[in-house]
Parts: sequence; structure tokens; C-alpha cells
Amino acid sequence: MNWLVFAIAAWLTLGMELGLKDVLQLGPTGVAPSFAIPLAVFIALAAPARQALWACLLLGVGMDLTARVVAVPGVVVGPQALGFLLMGQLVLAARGLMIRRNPLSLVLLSVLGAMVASIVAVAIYTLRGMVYGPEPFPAGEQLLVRILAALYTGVTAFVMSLVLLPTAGVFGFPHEGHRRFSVART
Amino acid sequence: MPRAYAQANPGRRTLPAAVLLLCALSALPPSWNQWAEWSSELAGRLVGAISHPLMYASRAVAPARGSGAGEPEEINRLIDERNRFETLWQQQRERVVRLEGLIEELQRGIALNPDLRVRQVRAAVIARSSDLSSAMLTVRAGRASGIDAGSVVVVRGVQLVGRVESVGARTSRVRPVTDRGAGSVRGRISATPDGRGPVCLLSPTGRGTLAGDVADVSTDPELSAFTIQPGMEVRLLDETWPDNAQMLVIGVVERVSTDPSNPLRTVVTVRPTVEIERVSELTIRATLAPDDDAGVRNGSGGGW
Repeated sequence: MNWLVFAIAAWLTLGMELGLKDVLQLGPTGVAPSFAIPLAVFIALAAPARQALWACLLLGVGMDLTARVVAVPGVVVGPQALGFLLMGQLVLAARGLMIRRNPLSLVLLSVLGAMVASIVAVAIYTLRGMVYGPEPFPAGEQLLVRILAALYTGVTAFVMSLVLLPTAGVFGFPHEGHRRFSVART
Repeated sequence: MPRAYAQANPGRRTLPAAVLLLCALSALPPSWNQWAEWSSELAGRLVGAISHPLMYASRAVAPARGSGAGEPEEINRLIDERNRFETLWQQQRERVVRLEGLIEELQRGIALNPDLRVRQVRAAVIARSSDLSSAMLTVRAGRASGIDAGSVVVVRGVQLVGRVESVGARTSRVRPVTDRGAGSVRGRISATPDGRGPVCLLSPTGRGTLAGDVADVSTDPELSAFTIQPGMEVRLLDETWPDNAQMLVIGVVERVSTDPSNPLRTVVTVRPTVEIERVSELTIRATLAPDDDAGVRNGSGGGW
């Protein structure tokens, strides 16, 4: 995998994550889609296993560093990174059953992956809130919002798949075919 | 064979090591995560190069409600100016109401003992004890403001808070009467309309209240006719406290019960009218010597 291309793609998607989230948010609910998750899932679908996990971890660290979480003072590095790592592992386990170049694969795995990453992050924030305070992390409310956001992420995953799948060759994945999209397993 | 492969590929161990590191970082207390602020700022700057233009573009496409986008510039300027002056007017109005209340409170406090010359200094509470077992308050007024140890501290003019325990150059420590270490105070329950009533010796319970026995008044024909009821005011009447503290309000009777070990004795639980352990600002009263006119303005202090 070409790490320079990954770095540029991660930079762009994190920028979109921060810049477009409020305009795409569903009213005052806080439900907004993610751009970093479809990229992580796209890489985990096609890259070698270890490179995929490292890419997910780095994207998660980027998310941690740019996040401010309710009831959690300061910046905490780890919750999102570990969530993304588990999401990467989920995609690695499932990718043998999926049609890798089908946009719907990216959509489905993005939704599932976002849910897994959310559960990990909420669990860590909740534990931190219980141990360090100053107030408990609103776990139930946050889990609901994040699961709805995971469903919404399916929309951005579909849109991003239209851009990512045709440009997969740029990422330098091994055994990369020349077809842009596919409806059958290759 | 796998062991040999792992030794030949040390990179295989870096991912588990990174996971362990992230687990450790997730468990770090907030005070140990200060380094992440710097990294976060750097990441924010890098990502800001993308997110800022995107936000700018998204605002142009879908402006925020009430932002004035699309209106003529002159109208927007006038609306902003009107809003600014309206806020300023409301702030000043609130300030006048607050100052009027403050003057009234201070006058009420002095009216209790009009012959006494006291200096009153208003001070902000800047800290509480880090130990949960203590309710000690730290206030921003010290020797520089003329505060002495033992000075009486009140809130809302007449509600007794406690006494100054130690004085620093710029700060002092106040022990509230409800603190477990404050000791007992003698008070008088205002049972009659003119403020007379039985005396009680109150000790802090540690739950923000004081409780203690009430003196027997069965021999007093005037007072024996009154029964102690919740809601009655209890005022300080204790010779161990300075003169300017006498008749300040300790609180109101919250509960009347009998002593389990002596059913003939009445026990009252008194709760201050203000939650004194959580006040944000209070007044320190110090009795002035007869020849000390400094800072006295009609009995009120030069501290403000």
C-alpha cells in the first residue's frame, strides 16, 4: 500500500469530518455521518491485514486528536483508535465473504464498523467518567446517537465508494484489478 | 518455526505493542494527558487547512439561521449594533439591581447592632478544601484587606457563615459553623413575636445542619406557653463569639424531636437559611477599636 496516498486521503477525510459534520448533522440531534470510517473500511477491504490494521489505528488516533468529548476533560488518545482497530479486525474477518469492489459492501461494513467503533469508544469514555469524573459520561444517550450516526454513515460510505473504488489503483493495493466496480466475487 | 519467523520479523510485535500503549493512554488520568493537548493542537492546525475552507463553503451554501447572510450589509451592521446596546443595557440593569440588594443586605447586618462599629469586607470564595471531610472555605481577602483571625463571616447580611480561622497576605480560611471541626454554638430560638425564646446548644452534624438540646423553660411562665415549631428562627447568643456576631441568624428550626436518652429533653435540628458551604461570595465583619475610624462609613466597611 502506498502510505503517502493514504496520508493524503486521511488528511482530506479528517478535514471533511471536521468541516462538513455540522452542515450534514440532522437538526440538533448530533447525528452526523463519518468520512473517516468509510476510508478505513475501504483500506481494510483491500490492503494486506497488518497494513490495514495500522491504517485503521492511525485514522483512529487522528480522530482522537481532533475530538472533544462531552463530560471528558481534555484530549484522550486511545478510545477511537482502539475502536477503529476493532473495526478493522471486523472488516478483515468479513472481507472474504464480501464482494470487495461492490459499493454495497463498503456501505454495509461501514455501518457495522461504525457501530463497533462507537461501542468501544463509549465503553472507554464511560469507564473514564466513572473513575475520573468530573461527571458521568452519558453512555445511553451517546450510544443511541452514535448508532444512528453509524446508519447515516452508510450514506457517506456510498458516496465515497463512488470515488474510492475507481481510484483504488492509486493506493497500490496488491492484486488490484482494473475494473472500477464489481457485482461478483473476484 | 513461528518463533523463528517472529524473531526475523520484529515488526510483528509493534502492532500489539501499539495496542497496549493505546490501552494505557486510554486509562491515563486527565492530569497526565496534557501532552495530548499539544498534539491535538498540531493535528487541528493540519486538518484545519482542509476543514476551514469546507466549513466556509458549507456556510455559503447553507447559512446558519439568524446569521444575516443574504441581507444588505448596512442592515446587518445596524442589527448587530442594536443587539450590542441591548445587551449592554441589560447588563447595567442587572448590575443596578444587584448593587441595590447588596446595600440593603449590608444595612440589615448593621441594623442588628447599630452601636457597634464594624468594618465589612466583601470577599469571593476562591476555593474549598480538597479533602471531602472538611468544609473549609478559602476567600480572597487577607491581611492586606484588614482581616484578622476570628473575624465573623456572614452572607446575605445576617446569615452567619462562620469565623476566619487563619489569615494570609491575600487570602483567608473560613471555617463554617456547619463544619464538623467548628465546635458548638449557643443560640436562641425566636419563639415569641419579639424574638425571645429558649436557648439551645447546637453542634454541627456534618450534613449541613446543627443539632442540639434546648434548655428547659418550663419554669418561665411566658416562654412555657410557646411550643417550638419548625420554621422558627435561631439566632446566635454566645459569649465566645464577638459582639458584632450576636443575634446573627444561625438558621431555622428544621425538626423538633426528643432526646432518646432523656425523653423530657427537646432536641432541635437547625438548617442555615443559605447553603453556606457553597456560597460564592461572603462578607467578613471585624469589630473596630473605639479610636479606629479608618474605613468606617456609617458603620459599613471600607472593603468595598
